Amino acid sequence: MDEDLPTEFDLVVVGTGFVESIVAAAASRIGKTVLHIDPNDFYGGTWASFNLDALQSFISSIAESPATDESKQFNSIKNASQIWHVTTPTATPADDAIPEGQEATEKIWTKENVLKEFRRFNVDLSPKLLFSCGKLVKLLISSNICRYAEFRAVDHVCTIINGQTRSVPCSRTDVFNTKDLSIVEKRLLMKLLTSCMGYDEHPEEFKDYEDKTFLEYLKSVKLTDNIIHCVLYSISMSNEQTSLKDGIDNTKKFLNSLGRYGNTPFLFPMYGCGEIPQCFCRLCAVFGGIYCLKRSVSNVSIADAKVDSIKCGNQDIKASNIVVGHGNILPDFSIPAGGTGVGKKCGGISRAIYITSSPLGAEELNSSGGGVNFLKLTDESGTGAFVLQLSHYSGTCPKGLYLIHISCSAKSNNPEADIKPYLDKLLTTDHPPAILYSIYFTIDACLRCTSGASITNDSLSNVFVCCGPSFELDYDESIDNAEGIFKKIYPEDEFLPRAPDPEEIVIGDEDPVSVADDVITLDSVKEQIMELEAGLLHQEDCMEENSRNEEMAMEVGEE
Amino acid sequence: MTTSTEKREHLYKILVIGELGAGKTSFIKRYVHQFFSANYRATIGVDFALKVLHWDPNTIVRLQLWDIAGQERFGNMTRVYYKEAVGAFIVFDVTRSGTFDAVSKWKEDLDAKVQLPGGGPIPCILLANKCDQEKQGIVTNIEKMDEYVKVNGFSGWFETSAKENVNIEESARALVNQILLNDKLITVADIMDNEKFALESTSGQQITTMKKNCSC
Repeated sequence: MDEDLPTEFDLVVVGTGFVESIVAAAASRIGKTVLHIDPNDFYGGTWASFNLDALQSFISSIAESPATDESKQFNSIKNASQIWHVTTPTATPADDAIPEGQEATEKIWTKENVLKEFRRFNVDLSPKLLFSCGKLVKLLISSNICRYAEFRAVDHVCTIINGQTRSVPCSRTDVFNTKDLSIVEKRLLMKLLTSCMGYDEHPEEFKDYEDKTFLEYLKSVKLTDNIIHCVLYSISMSNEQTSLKDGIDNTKKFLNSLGRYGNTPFLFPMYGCGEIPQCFCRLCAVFGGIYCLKRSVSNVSIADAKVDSIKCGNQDIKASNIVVGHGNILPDFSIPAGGTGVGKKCGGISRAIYITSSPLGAEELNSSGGGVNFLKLTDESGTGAFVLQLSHYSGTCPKGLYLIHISCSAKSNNPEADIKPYLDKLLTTDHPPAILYSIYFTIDACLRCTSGASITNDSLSNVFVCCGPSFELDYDESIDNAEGIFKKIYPEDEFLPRAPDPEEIVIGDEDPVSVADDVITLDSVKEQIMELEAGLLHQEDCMEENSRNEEMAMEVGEE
Repeated sequence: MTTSTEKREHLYKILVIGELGAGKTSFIKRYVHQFFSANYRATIGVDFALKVLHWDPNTIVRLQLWDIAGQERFGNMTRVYYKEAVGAFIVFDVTRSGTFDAVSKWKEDLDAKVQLPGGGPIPCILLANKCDQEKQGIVTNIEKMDEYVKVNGFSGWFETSAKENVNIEESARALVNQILLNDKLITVADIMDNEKFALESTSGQQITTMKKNCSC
């Protein structure tokens, strides 16, 4: 396993985060030789998911190293802290207070028995949701990388009204079944959504509100406060200042993603979002990319404003192009100028992760052991927070426990303070979650976004820097970032054409020929996307231990 | 079910791991495609090879054999590779004892990264490949090998030769037997989760959820 690497590559990628992994996969896919390394011993960088054991050590390692430590491998996460809110039963000498057997039957969660299940956790540093017809879903399908991943439809899109956590009716059926709305309200809501969808065909309906906010428009069509609340905050994920155009675009995006999978427009990757970069890495490897974790670039040699070779371990490796991820930039790298297609800065996110022993909201939001629920919270100052509750059905935590992720724009170097107003909203609802453990940290902007383009002195024309996670729900900006970098390096080539399925490859004695490459055209990709609606390929071999199919459960009994 | 006898079909993911040059790809090609060639090109763009077994009149077994393919030879396989595997072969080259030294490291790595739904290790068979050539090291002593396999939690071991087609079918049959045995212990409830799905659309099932954007 300690063999030497080849000494020449078309592309060297440093860091296995989302953006870097897409660029690596795309280059490998068109036949370029790729070396993909990561200084960490895990995949994903700022986009990784950890089991609970690894998460705790990761957070401690960041909390303990001084913020100014340049040599730190991981410099994109800072201000990290963690605390257990349950004490250990061994702390009290009175052993008989909590007998051994009792724990199992009454499910009293102590630090010990939470930690015992550490392998069942897959905790995301950067949790995201996918719009069912968003960019990532389309890319996964068009590139055929979707075969590496499985998803779960988000069960409920929630909102908090008057201290109550409620499900926002998403599908047509939901609208008609909900008891929260009167018949008149239901008709008004359907009418509103229909006219939003028809915005492009009938712009005249909105003429008087073109320069106004979405809220002003909603108020003008005589909606009740409840409906305005649902549409403005949950469906369009807007706030009081959002313009009519943006509000309608957001609403359309939400509606367009409905009815593809499940009851809401959103998908969550099984076993956490950290799976997604690895799907791209696997594709890169299958097409010949070489993977090497725990390796970093110790030096670069520069010739003619280009990096000529890099020092990796004790080897000098020539590279035509270099892509460097968020948090992996060498201190003496000068960062090339120029846009990457990302409109706003990456990073700048305050994060909180809670392990809780009860879910947010009432039983109907968490049927049969908990839902994968999404909540958008707003505040007066603007961008608000994304709240994601994950139950064991997401493959990211053990049964009986929940992960609650909160992400908001960083306002200070104190993520706990940034998150507090949102946490308070959750804790003052009718069914607040019971928190066992909490983690706070800040995801920094990448060096390029922090410094702008001015950092360049003599820009290196063959070095490309990837952004870290942006404060967005889906991955749209990050995909633009990756595609932009790919197009700069290989302007003539197709970005992630469909990879053939194993069955489509005919293996001959000497010359394996991929039939699929000849047959597959863009048209069939389009067809595939259209077929998306027919989805739901049932995974018979899936090994998830539980069934949510109640009929099935009734027939064979639980577990 | 409309047929009177119930036909069962199983799809199993099997990992083939081991050091570079141990004969992983040769083993797969011999087993799946029934041919051997001394100089393969690195297989580009293939995740796994599919072998269909008519196990008995009522059982069809589809085996996906996942090669680690030299690319991940530094041992840093992605989770995608390990995920939901139900069996494994670890291959070493009897002519190079160095490839055997790495076997226990591969086994540890395997057990750490993938478990059966119940938490136990997945069945794994050790293949002493290239047995048509001169052997080196522990593999010359059958008793020691038996002991090693037992201590390290393998389901068994075989001397194989992909070149001469020795024990290829037999070793695969032994692994499938073990997998089928494990599978019987898993109830239908364990493997059904209707809410978990892939994004592919090969099945004809249509979701009939109405879109909200029609007038009412």
